[in-house]
Amino acid sequence: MNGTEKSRLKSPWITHINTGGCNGCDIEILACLTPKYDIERFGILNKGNPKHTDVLLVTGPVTKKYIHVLKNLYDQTPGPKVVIAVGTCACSGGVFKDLYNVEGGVDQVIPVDVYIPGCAVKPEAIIDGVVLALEKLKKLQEGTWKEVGE
Amino acid sequence: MNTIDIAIRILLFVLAPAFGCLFFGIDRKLTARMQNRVGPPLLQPWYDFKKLMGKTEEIVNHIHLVFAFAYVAFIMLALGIFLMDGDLIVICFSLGASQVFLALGAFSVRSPYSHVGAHRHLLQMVAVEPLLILAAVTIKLQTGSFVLSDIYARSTYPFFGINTILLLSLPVAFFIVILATIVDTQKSPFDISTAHSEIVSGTFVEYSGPYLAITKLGHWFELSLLFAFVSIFFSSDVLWISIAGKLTLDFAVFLLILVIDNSTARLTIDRLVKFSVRIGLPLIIINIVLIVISSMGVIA
Ligand code: SF4
Repeated sequence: MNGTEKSRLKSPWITHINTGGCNGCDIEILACLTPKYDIERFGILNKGNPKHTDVLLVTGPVTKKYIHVLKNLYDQTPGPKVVIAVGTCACSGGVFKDLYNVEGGVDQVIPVDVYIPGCAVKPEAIIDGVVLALEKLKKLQEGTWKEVGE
Repeated sequence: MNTIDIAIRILLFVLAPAFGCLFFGIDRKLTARMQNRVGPPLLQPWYDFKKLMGKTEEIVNHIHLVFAFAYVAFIMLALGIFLMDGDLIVICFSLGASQVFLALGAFSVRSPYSHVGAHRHLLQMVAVEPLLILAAVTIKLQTGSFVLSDIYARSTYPFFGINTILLLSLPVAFFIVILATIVDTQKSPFDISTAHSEIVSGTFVEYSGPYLAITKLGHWFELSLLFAFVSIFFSSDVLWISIAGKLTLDFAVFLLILVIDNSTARLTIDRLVKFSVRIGLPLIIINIVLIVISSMGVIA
């Protein structure tokens, strides 16, 4: 691993996107920034700007109106990037699945790297998820990553 | 100036961004400790920088990038002039020019956040640049020169009959320089043009990947320049006293800025302009008048 690859693991900047959830998961993401959980110790900063972002934290089911917005935000994020589906809604649609205005989980629209279930997710789970995503990135960089079933 | 002297100056120039980087590292760590958090590692800004350098390039338009490079170039020019003991006024203006380029860069894209940031950046310049230049004028009145090598040589100029360092004779100018440092490092209460969580990151919103890293590099140079400016206020004939004094002064200002940053909330841009017009400007004019009167021999 060279310096850039190491730095990538040490400085994941996040942006959180709510695609139509109940806001429960968003509150939990913000809780991660508080002194109790302090995700800044992993170098994580909440940027709120896709152009500065490495990790997209997406919460909520994707509503039909939000599809193009989410795609747009994903395209604006420079690579290498990681997408994390935060909360049951984002993983599968959750309680909103099959509603007339809901497309489904985040993976119906953009590729997702890590799923964090829970309604609402615990801040601990979010931190675990981000660390897991970084491990995946590390393995991808080393070339030792294997998809399930490979 | 002999060869060793020049070598030291070049070394300082090369190390300047490292100082800036370390400043932000310590800043983030200390801020975290003040908020009872663990905080990121000391070298976090360096990791951020390297990560940004390794990201894919996404370009909005080419003019945008040209302005970013011009910003960094003018900051480097200002620092270079400073380290070669150049003219204080030229330094102030090339600092000003770099800020204008930053604002122009922000205007060259279509993001409204970027435009709001650029407007605020220009207004912030209007508020702070004149004060900084007037501060340079007070230094000139006190020491008789704008050129740094002369300033160093003559900064034991008597004021009210006391032989003293510039810091004691020009407290108002020193206050103004601290103000400029807070504004230019984008610290609370004057982090107005990049206002995180209000206009995202204002002027920098459309820069991404390596180009954001370049603006960060510029920012590190800018920080070193401002702390170099602070260090003018102490100099002595004895070399080690001079160096120790300059470092102590810088460190004290650094801690002061951190405490102010963590204990205040962001003001609006008109509050900054009002503050500079109502408090900064009168204070520094009073200081200039006092110096003129004392040099005419009316008081002292
Ligand atoms: S997973 Fe639960 S808490 Fe989170 S957005 Fe969906 S309904 Fe709300």
